[in-house]
Amino acid sequence: MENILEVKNLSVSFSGGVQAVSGVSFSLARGETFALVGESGCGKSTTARAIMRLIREPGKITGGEVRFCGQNLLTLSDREMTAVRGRNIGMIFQNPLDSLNPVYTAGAQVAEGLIVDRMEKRKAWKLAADMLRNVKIPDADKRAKSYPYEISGGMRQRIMIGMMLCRHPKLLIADEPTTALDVTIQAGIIELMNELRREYDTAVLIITHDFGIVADMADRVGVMYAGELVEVGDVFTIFDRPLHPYTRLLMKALPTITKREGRLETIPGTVPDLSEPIAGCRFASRCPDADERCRSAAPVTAEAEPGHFCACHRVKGGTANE
Amino acid sequence: MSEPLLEVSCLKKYFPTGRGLRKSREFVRAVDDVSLVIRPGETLGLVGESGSGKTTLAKLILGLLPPTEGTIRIDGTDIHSRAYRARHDVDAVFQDPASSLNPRATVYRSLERPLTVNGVSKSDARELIYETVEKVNLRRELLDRFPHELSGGQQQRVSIARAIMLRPKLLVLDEPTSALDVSVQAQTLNELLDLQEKFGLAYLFITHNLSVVRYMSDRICVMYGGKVMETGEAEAVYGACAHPYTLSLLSSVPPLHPRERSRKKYLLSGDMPSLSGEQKGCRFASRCSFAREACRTDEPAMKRMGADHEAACLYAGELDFMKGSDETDV
Repeated sequence: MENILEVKNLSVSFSGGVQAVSGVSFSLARGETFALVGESGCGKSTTARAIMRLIREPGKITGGEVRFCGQNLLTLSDREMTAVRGRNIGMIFQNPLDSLNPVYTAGAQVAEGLIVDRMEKRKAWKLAADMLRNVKIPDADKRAKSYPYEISGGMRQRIMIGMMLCRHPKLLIADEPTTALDVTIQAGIIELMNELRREYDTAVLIITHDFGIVADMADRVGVMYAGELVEVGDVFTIFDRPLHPYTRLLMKALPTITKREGRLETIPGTVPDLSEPIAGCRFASRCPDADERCRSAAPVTAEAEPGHFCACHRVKGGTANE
Repeated sequence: MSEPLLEVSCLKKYFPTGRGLRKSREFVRAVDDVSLVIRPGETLGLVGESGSGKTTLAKLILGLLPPTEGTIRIDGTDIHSRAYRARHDVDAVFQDPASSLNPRATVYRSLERPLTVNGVSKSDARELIYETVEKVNLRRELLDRFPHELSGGQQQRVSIARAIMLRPKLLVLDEPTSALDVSVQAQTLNELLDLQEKFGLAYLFITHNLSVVRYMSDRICVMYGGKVMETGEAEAVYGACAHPYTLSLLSSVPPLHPRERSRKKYLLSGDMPSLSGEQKGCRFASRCSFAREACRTDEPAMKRMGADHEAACLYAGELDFMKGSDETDV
């Protein structure tokens, strides 16, 4: 299948030598949904922002490539990049109120992108209202004339989704799109995104810390830890046969039982300090299976089974010389 | 069954919506006729969407807000009566540990303060602090640090240590793990269970995370629009919920495995109705897919579903979703 996004060896560091993202590689096929999952500080949001080139000082993309439809986004001029944002790649964030302009109506903001694309004003407005209906906003014509503060959180996120999709981007990046919402509202947003990505044939890169959302939306999953992608695979494979010890432990830490059935597994220790160089595997200090080799040499990402990649010495193919 | 530790009966909290001197007759009914009990050593999980009145109820139980009507009894004594002065039966842990600790005080000072305020001598306080931090698995050297030097999980353990310092019988835990990562959340939840076993603490566990509440709770109370919709043994509520709102909540929880994607969902449409003004009928009727004519006019009473299982729905037990809400079409 044709890949619309290929991220190769992407690295981002912040001042003081903090390696927030180191050597992350993955790809997205047309219409596919890829989930980047991990705990706070693992670099998942930084990766998403780096793809959009939204890393601000003191952060810096220090290496790698981001190929979107064959073109390396990291070498585009600022002007060319501005044209890609919104038109070819849409992005929605956790808090829609931060993304919406408080002094313009919802409809005007959805139409704005279309007008930028040289659409006639009246037509853009009509399309914007249609789009609001498409994202299942009740009373769409009235809502188009409402200001963001008059609209509930779930509806605001729907407006953001509509605003992004009305220009038919090939890729939509969603950074924790439902984290600020109630579960009942979250369920509606997930259903909507699952429906619309098929209708608009848009690939989705979803950033989340919630394995439930991964299970509900993703075709493939990438698990991040301390700035590295430690495991990538098909969503069923990752849930049924996780290989990396971090993925396995994280899944067991999810509260899926009752207290009468036993206690949750915990991961001892804390995430390592990323401003210091780490000799071996970044998870070694917390890993129950770690041995000498893990503490001295960094594992290489290898294909353990077709389409299932893992960076661990203890997993078949994890070390280059094996 | 043992005597209840906490007994809340017919509790109401109405906030007037009028401004300044011109008080109107309009009220927001944040908590509207809520009754519940918590027995010693048990965990009651309180769930509901934002705006359902969970936190207002917690504040009322902590005595931080005066109730409009109704009583809150701890060990049989009304907490607003004269007989109940300066007792420390209830304490609380809140969602964001960073904002509930003084950033300019060391951990030791934050822990010492509630003790000295309550007349514990400095030397006794020192001993008690050392003893308590050990119980919550905090290293002693962290006592001289400032909150910003601690990780989120450690900060939350400091909050828990402070809350249990005066030996309360009931802890109100308002979203205690929502700000934490999955691995840290698991640690914190396990520690809370250990403390409960060791000291026979009762918990009122407030959260919007239904898997966390299932793990922690003996009984569950589901709130919507300031009212209790359903209450009962955790497994009874999860296994065979009787209220359509509980059904929607449970089916909104993301699945545990991609295989469950095609599960039947009962999604809610619309928003929570305004809680001001005169209310008629069932609060949930406007969003309920099972609602009938009577739901809009008759206020449902609590209906007994099992030994310790009640639901406030006119048609509880008659609706045909009884066969487990998390049923999947595999």
